[in-house]
Amino acid sequence: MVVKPQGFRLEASDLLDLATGSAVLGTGGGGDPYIGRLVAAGAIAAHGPVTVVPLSTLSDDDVVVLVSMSGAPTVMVEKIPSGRELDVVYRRVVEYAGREPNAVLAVEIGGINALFPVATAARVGLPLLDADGMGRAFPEFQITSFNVGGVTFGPRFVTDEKGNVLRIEGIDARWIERINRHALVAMGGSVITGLALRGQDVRRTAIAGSISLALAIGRTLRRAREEKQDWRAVLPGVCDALPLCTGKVTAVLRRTTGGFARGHADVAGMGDDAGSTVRLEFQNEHLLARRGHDAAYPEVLASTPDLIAVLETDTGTPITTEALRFGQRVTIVGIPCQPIWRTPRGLELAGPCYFGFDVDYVPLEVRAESRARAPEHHDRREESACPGI
Amino acid sequence: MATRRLESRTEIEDFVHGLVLFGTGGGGGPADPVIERLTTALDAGSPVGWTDIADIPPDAWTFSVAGVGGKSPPGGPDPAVLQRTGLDRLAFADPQQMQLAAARRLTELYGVQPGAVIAVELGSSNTVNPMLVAAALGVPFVDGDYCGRAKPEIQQSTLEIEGRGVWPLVFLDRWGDVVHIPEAASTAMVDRIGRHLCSAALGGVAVARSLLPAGQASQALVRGSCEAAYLAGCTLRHAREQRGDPVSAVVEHLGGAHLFDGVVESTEEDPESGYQFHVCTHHVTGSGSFHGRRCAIWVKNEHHIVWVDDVPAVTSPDIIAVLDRISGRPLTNHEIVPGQAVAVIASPPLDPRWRSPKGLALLGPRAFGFGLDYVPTPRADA
Repeated sequence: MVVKPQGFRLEASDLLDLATGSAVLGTGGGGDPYIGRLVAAGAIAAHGPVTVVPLSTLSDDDVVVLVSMSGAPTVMVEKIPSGRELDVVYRRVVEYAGREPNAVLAVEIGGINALFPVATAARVGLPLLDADGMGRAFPEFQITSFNVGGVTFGPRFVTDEKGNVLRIEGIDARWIERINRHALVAMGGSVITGLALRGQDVRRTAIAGSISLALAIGRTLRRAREEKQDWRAVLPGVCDALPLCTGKVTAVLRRTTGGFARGHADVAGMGDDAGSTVRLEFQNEHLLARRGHDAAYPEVLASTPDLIAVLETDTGTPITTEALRFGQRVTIVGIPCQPIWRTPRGLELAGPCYFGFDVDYVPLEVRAESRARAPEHHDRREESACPGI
Repeated sequence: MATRRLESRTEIEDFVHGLVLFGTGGGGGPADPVIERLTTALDAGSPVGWTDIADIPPDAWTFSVAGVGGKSPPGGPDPAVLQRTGLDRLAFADPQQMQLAAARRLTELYGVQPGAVIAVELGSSNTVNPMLVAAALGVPFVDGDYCGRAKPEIQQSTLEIEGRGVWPLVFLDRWGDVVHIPEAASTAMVDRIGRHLCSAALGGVAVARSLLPAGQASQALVRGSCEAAYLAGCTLRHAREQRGDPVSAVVEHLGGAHLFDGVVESTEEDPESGYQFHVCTHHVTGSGSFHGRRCAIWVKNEHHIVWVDDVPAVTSPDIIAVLDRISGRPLTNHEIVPGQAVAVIASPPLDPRWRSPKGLALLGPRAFGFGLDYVPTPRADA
């Protein structure tokens, strides 16, 4: 007899690991894991633990509710939610769907955006799917596995702490993003959003196992710290992480503009990496890591859609882009992205060209191999084939 | 307060010229294209006119449609943005079609039968578009509006004075995107979101809003304002036909004041104001009995402050109109160009609620960021 996998319980005691692992997969974005954890812990304390179930438990006609924070994480750490927003968007989505939903799903994995769905699942008593729509965090709504898979979107509901409610019916995902972004700037820089998707669309296009992976990453980092091990030695065992640079943050240029936190941070190498600096470019999430010196950074170490995470070197604590500051001792790691992002459609939506970088996408591990093979060619500037740049 | 059908091109011209006067420079652009559209509609057998709210069942659902947003910046939208957003197909040909679609979406979302349409303001297109939307939906167009003039922001409305929100509402852009706002923190917030949607859509958007039973709508209504616009237009024409001075005739008809005569010298544009608002200042050099004097008019979509020799002469919420000095034809901001001989007139608001503390807080000079007190239209006998 085949036993259908029935998932696992997510307890309050798991939330620290989930928040930590989500912040690693959030690749600098996805929101502050402390706020995310507090909101989820409050919901679990009041309503009990959440059951996390695999995508295979979804039926075609099931209704799946997605909730997320959208906007600039720099704003979110100061403009704290009132606590009603998640319920407001959930109620609106249910009203639109016309019947009780079957599960809750994270749009992306990040410190807030994996944890708010946990809070909603706890509050409404629904299971949380062990999945998400990116396998990481991305700054814009159209960059989802749902969109890669050709899913058509119903209305996206948006609310804020002041009680404004918007229902956005965009002509496509790109326009839902554009309208949401302009509206959230009007609403102060961050909002809570909700959306319904059909079971069959989610089962077909969502990235499976994201919640489990985030938990495993968080657990691994915590145990390394408890057992006084170097986290850099054990993290690759759970997520193929490649160390890119260990050093200290020497400069951060960060602006909150157009509904995003945009800017760059410089990490001056220390120890084995002494003598060069890595510049991280970000738009909420880290998008590009380049190495060089004397204010020129010709050598690409990693680029979107691969994941670029910054962790505190001593403790393995992930640092989101809004929390980066001068003097932090950090290690930058690269993690290969989900395979769908390496398809032509995936790269069109999420490759370096889309974000305006004149860089071809080369998988992180391929770049590492070629660095190992021909170290003398490190600083040759790459020719790119971005259309229209 | 009347129920009237316009039967001829002349009557349409009177009505639209009156609308432009109460549009105080804005309210939807020059008169001629609007006159053409209304005449075409009349010729096609469409009803052109208005119905007193008392003739509409109190439980019939009324709503408003309007355009939101200023003019595009010089040169139009950035082609790179158009390409990135894939904007190569317009879903709607003109603002009227957008407003009709917004009206249909709003009534469909709330499952109600359209009962009557009410203009949000008096002004050329901004009154005529809802009139034509009413005709397309086969429902009456109400003699009245929610301001008694044109104004730049959604909350500058008698609905707001009466404490009625403008939501639920639907914004719709020309690409076909729809944003429905079922509830909001304030009308000013709705306006702010609407402006940002204009920036997102690279141009003005349509709004359908203020879904109210006629019984409730009538409390906030500036009742009879369409008739008032029509009669002002008739006054201008009669004076012209009788070789009188249309400017003094309409000032007398409105109980207003003749503030200035002169020639437009220049218009200072505020370059920051594209998409969301049109902000500028007109400078007029005095002529005739105003020779040697200067006049300036500050514009945010509409005229709000007139200075004569640097002294504030009249401010919003009073009605400030700029007329062609000879023909008396009311001009919109697009027609107030260097060399144009103009008369600047003012008249008290059609609805006394605008002179209440709440009305002044919404539409007085301080609402536009000026450290000035309200200056009413000088009385004729003063």
